[in-house]
Amino acid sequence: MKWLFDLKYAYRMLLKNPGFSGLTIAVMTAGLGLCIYMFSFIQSVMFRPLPFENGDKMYVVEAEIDGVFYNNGSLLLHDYQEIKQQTDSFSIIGAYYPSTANLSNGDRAERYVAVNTTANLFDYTGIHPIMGRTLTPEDNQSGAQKVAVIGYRLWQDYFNGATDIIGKTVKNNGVVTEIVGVMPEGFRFPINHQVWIPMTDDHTRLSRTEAPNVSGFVLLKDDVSLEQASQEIKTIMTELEKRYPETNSRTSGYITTFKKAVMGNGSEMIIGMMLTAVLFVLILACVNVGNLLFARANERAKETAIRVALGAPQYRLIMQMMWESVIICTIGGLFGLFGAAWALELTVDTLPSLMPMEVPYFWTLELDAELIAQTTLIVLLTSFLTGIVPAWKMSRSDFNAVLRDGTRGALSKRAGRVNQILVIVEVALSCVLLCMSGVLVVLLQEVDQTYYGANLDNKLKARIGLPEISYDDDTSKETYFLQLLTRLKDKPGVKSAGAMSSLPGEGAWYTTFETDGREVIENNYPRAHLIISYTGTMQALNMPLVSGRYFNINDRKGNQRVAIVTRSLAEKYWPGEDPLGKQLRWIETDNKEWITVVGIVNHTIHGQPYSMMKHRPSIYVPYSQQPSRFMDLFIEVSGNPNDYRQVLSSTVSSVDPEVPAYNVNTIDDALQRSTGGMFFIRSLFSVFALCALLLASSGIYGVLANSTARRTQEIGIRRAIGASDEKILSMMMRQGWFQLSIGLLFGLPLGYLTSLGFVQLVGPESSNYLWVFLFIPTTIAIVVSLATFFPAKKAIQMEPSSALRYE
Amino acid sequence: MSKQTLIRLNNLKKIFYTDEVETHALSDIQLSINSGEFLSISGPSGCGKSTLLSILGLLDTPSEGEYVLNGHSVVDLTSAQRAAIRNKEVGFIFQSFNLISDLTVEENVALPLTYRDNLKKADIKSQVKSALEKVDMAHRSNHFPSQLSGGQQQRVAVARAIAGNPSIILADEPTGNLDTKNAEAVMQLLEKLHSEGATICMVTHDPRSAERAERIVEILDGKIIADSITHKSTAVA
Repeated sequence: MKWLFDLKYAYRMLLKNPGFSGLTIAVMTAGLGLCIYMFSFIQSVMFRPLPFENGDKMYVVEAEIDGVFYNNGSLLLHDYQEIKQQTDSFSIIGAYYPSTANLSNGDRAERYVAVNTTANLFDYTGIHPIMGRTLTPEDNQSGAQKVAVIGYRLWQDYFNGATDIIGKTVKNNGVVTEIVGVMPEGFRFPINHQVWIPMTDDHTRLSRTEAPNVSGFVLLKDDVSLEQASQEIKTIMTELEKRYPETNSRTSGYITTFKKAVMGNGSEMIIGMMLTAVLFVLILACVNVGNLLFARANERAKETAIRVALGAPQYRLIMQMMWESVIICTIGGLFGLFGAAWALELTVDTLPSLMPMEVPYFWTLELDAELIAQTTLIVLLTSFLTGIVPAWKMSRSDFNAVLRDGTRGALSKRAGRVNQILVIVEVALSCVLLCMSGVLVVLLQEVDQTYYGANLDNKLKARIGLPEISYDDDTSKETYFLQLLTRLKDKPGVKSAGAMSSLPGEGAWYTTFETDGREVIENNYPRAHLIISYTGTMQALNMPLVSGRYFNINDRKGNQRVAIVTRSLAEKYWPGEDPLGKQLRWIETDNKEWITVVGIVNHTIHGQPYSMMKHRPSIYVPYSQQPSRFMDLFIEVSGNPNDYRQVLSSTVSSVDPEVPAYNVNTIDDALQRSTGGMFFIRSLFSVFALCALLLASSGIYGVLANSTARRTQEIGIRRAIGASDEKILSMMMRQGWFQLSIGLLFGLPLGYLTSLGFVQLVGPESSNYLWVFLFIPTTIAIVVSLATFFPAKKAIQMEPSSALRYE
Repeated sequence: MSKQTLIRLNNLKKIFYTDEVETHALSDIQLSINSGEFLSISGPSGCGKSTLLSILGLLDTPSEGEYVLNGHSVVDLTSAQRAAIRNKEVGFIFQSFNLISDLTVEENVALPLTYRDNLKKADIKSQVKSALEKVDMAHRSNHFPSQLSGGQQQRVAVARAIAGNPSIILADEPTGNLDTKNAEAVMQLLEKLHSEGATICMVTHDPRSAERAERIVEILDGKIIADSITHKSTAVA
């Protein structure tokens, strides 16, 4: 129990110096709190296995086109079947694709997120229904009776938790469907689904152009690595690309976890950068606390010498110092844990308003036993890191000299070097973090001002999905939207209305096409967004016409097929030529008719305004020539668009009560949500950078103040022999600036390199972000100059006689 | 009282090297200290007496020569071994008391005992109590050093030195920071300890204090120039 004696003493020492203790605990709270928060967040959204028995072996197979990873149903059904037949890596393989379930019981229609799936999805998760049964392979046969398994929440909300639900029927997308099972509360697999419908698409009866896109869910065999499975899929997909260039041009496949698939492109890089950033903050915190403990160890040199004289073993001397860092880090860790729990709660409350979709069920942002165990490990590690250097240094000091002289002695060369290194490390680390954050702030400023190629202000939008069974021909679809848009335009306050398969800012189908007279080399077909636009919609969105004309009522079925293309497409495929009258046609559809370009509009952005999406060209075709069941509907209003939600929903119901409007939202909000993730990351980085700046400035001030204080005698001697105050000040400042220069020499290039990831991801139009690399070093230079100036000024304000006697 | 040889120094040298300068702090020291002896080492400032005391207390190592403590050579010991011997065999009393200001009197006295293995809490407590009673400071056991006078602090330091029943007490100018009255009290305390059988080696430049020992070793420029018996020794004999 000897350690209790030392622990008690360390505790007493911390109580005796509340300022020191408060500062070090605050620093560690900031560092550890951020670290715990980020670990929890990243683990939850990226790394923690799904909450199923074989969660660590559950992966999803999707398509990769042009190097961009697609998710949530991107693999052609036929490609999935090929993979299923050829691969030997998986013990379970199945497929699903997301769909919409418009449930209707005659007087109430509600839209739910559904998934069409192979029956083995439930065996895959190992979760059993609380009522009824799950799907069977027979349900997957085409022509089988229509059945559905529903989620607990849907059962409670839509069916009021009716206990006799099994065997009841409901209209799903207009088709009478029997409810055969209810899944337990919380079961939302794969992402946020509430209705599971058997996938009846038969690849043997469908052509590759007719088949739906699916996601493959796979359970990796025990003896197969992820790399092996990935390689196998890539090999199969490469072969398929050669065999089916029309549908598989520049298409490959990838296997990943469900969590990573949801996070999307560039997420691993961003997560890596966030981890790096938070690690830097933690290192800065450790450096600061380590430095303060180091200064304190110097102050307690005599006490250590006494202990040495009394025969203290070296490990006890080290532990004596270590206990303090253990207490500081433990209290910091506890406060950090509370802070992280609070921040996680805040994130849970905030995320829904930032996400374009419902927050995935597996994002469980909370503290759990595993995280607390990891926190304990981090606390132990930081205790060791912060305490070991001062402890080791003190246990090896010249205690004889200390005992004899009774003073702490002048700053030794080695201690001075340690101080210099600490300042350099702090400058470099804070520079990297501030550069990353600064670049992100500037880049997202540009994203915030993105022009999507249309006027999207004051508009309320909704998604409409017409049930296939009720709208099985083009005329019925066209009539529906004609009626709907006419009724909407007649509503008071509505200035205009329109419909597009995907509005600017929304993701769109990125498909292959060819142009007349342009040779396609090795079946490497170009791709563009295909957007179906209702007549008058482009005018309602103020999409500026560069040349030609908009769609009109003459662009109907049977007449010449027409298209409007973006200027970006025209410049890419008909450079220096007049694109009007040029022809193109789709590759991945059965209709191979040529389409004539009749108009050019400015470039529009479909999808997120980042580099991987924003430069993609688009082709618009009139609704009357290519009717679709799924459309984005919008109204432009005078006043607040949110006031028109009820008007929009009731008008949609008035046309067909079984067709609900879903995803009703202002376009502004939808756009903000589509980039919300990046802005959330910016907020996090801003917190990291602010912490880094505070830690670095206080740390640098602490180091310099400490080293200056320890040089008081030296300064006294210099002044005694005639050095002017200016000379002393200039000497001190030069030393501060020297350390600043070295720190920036490392920090600035590192900051630039780490920021490049953001630059590549966002793909800015201007080089404004480069100003960050001037602004940040200037800021740090000011901070370092002030941190050097004040201690130096304090030292020269002391009378030389006092300075000479200073201990 | 037995007169066994407790310490034997043979041809001991201590050389300090600073850059290109070689300073001979101690040269050819031949010295034996018997158990139960009260020895004072005196000489002018910088003569090497504190260096000698540091070597005797295993706080420093000689550059050359032999040092035998309790029949065992202690020259080539590791740092940890020296710390262990220092803890068990040596009790230090410093000029500036060197109590730890954030420990109570009781805790200061207990400190060397906490560095020993296999010593129970109750044993530590009783040894501390006994030591404090010997120096008449038991009533101040819960006080902090800052609440004591200089003389009281030095008595506590003496208690700390004797708490572990060391083979030898090394006192470095124990009265140097005290007024005459307190200095006298401390010297009387040392004499009392000596009379009870303690071996004491005291460094002092004060001839009157040196005279209180039974043997005086005089050092000049790192060499022993005199080793004499005082009248006290004769009286004891």
